Amino acid sequence: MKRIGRMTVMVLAVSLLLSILAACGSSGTKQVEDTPGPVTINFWTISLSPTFDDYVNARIKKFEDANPDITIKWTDLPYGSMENKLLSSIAGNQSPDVVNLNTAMALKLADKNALVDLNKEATEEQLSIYFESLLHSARIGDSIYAFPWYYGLGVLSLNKEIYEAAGLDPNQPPSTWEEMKEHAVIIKEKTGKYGFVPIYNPPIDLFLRGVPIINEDKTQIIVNTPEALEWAKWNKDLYDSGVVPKESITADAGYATDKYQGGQIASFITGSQFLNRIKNNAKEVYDKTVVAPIPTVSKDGKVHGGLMNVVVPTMSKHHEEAILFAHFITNDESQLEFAKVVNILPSTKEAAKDPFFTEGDSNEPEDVARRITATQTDKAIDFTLGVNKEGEILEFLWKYWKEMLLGRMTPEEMLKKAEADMQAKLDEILAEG
Amino acid sequence: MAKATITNLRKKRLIFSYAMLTPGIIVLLVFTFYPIVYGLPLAFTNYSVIEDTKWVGMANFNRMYADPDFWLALQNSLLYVICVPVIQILAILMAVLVNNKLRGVHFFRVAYFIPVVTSMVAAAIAWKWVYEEKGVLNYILQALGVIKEPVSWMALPGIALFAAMGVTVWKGLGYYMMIYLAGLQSVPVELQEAARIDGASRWRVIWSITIPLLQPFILVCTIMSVMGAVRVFDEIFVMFGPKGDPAGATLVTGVYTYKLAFIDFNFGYAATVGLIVSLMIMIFTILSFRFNRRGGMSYYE
Repeated sequence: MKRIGRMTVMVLAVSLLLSILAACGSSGTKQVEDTPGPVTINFWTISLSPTFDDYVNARIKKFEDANPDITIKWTDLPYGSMENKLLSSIAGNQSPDVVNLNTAMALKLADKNALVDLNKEATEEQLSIYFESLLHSARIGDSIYAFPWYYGLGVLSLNKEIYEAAGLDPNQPPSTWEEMKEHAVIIKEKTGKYGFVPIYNPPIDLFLRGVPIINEDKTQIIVNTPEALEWAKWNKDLYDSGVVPKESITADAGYATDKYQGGQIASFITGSQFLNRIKNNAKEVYDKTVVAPIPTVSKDGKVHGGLMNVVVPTMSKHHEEAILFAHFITNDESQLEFAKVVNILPSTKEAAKDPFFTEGDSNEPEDVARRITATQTDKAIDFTLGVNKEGEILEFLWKYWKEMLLGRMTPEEMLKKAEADMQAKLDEILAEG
Repeated sequence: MAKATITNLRKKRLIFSYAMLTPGIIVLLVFTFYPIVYGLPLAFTNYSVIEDTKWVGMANFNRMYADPDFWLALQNSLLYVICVPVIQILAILMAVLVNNKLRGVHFFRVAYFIPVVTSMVAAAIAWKWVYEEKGVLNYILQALGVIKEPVSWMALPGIALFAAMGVTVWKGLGYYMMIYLAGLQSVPVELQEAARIDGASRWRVIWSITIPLLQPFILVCTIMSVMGAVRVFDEIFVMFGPKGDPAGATLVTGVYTYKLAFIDFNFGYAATVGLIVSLMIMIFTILSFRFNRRGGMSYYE
């Protein structure tokens, strides 16, 4: 009996060993490239499943019906794990073919020649359907590395109940940051709640206020300007005064959304596409929400739109089919349909002209938000430096901004130090070539 | 004849033992040793997965030497070791408490162990809420009158790292308690009884009998928790993000390595930092084994 037991274990051990060896062996074999006939395109998206399963699957089906030789395999990944997953697949020679990335991620990969240059491989006609300003967000030199997909513009959401409890009129929303502050002071005094949670994004905030950040030639950093100093001082005072939570130093959109949904803050700025999140998570707060345009920032009315793109990695084995699908999922028809499912704005010219975006007079927050943001599409920009390793350069500004809020340096020192260190980093990157 | 049977038996036993060890060794080879060996030379390259990899010699080490963020991270990681004695002392006390033959003691053992089996990510998110300005901790402290104004535990650079340590301690206690409990149950009861008969107080018994006999366990637990503290990652990453907010106050080497590799795509430099940190842990471990050898791994000798 015992003997049999041992034998079984031995056999199991050996077979386990063999299977591991086999697994190691098979992963080393390369697949035959460019086989004619059926092609499978791996399509990766960021945080669309399960909410938009119906929409994405319907689009995929339509594409497959029109192109019977191509099968689309859709994988959805959370925002935070996209870069990691993509890198390891590229390293493992298992690159997906069509990938949804935001502009910063797309540029980071483009820096490293990991993305197909669409100016070379896509047709003129394919490229012509997008707004030029958005198409150019993922441009380095003469190369364009992404088809722009959808984006959202910010709107200001007010919690009517808190506003009224503070004796303020929610139909008179703050239209400048100074008014945001004034309201926040009153709200804090009357209700004990915070008026808003600032979500700092120093590079974009400064850029919209007319700080160039980088010169035209991409050789010189310019952040130490009077506009920048004014904004920095204003924020430092606001933070010190206790009108906004001290935690705002580490707050991200998720934090502010939680607080707003919990009815703990009176207002917050969010992408119009995220309003449905509040609707799903906290219906009673959504019902009390009044939507207004965001407080003005720049003199020319420029607004920041966080853009989602679709790219084709160089490592994909089917560039042509991949570009075909990448273009399909971002074309007028696809985007218009998407916009009808969720509050996003299309990056294509024809889709944006659709009366759907401007019509209607309902007071439903999502509809109001759509009408507000639809008027701003021509002013939407997505900020990028347009140089290699942009994240490492901008990091100094982020870091010193926080140190300034914590009182470790004055606004003047912060800008001076940020400019110097960012310049040094830029010089280093330019020297590397 | 008899001798032959013995050697035969021994041979069989040997073969069997190796057969049992093989699968484990293979898994270790493939998933642990191979990546370690493969990772070593990366420290001398500019590996970024996508771009061409070049041998850069000691450039990464020079960069590290001049990198203020690395020193900050190292300093924070070493500071993190403060939570080791706290965990160990509390864990021993808890083990002594649950080593009683009280009714319902099993419940406490399970309860203390639950944090260990909880996912760190879920726990860290929950702790984030506890530490919020309007979180439970401030509520309790205000109710008790300890503080007048709510404290932003996570936003103050002087406190944030200690807030993270709180989570580490909470999560680790049960694990070490279990080891000490096993240790306590191997302590001969006669010794304790003899001490009691000789008129020693309860505390005296714990201090003079139990703790000295637990020494080998204390050594192992201390080393493990020092390694754990220097390598801390999950709680910081979940609570404070990849940059160790606020303003680098919670930047530790584990998180810094992650940031270098997966945010800056600087795998070469990340490998350098990782290499140096593991060397430091290795040296510490060897030294502590050396110093403690005379303490005796076995108290029966």
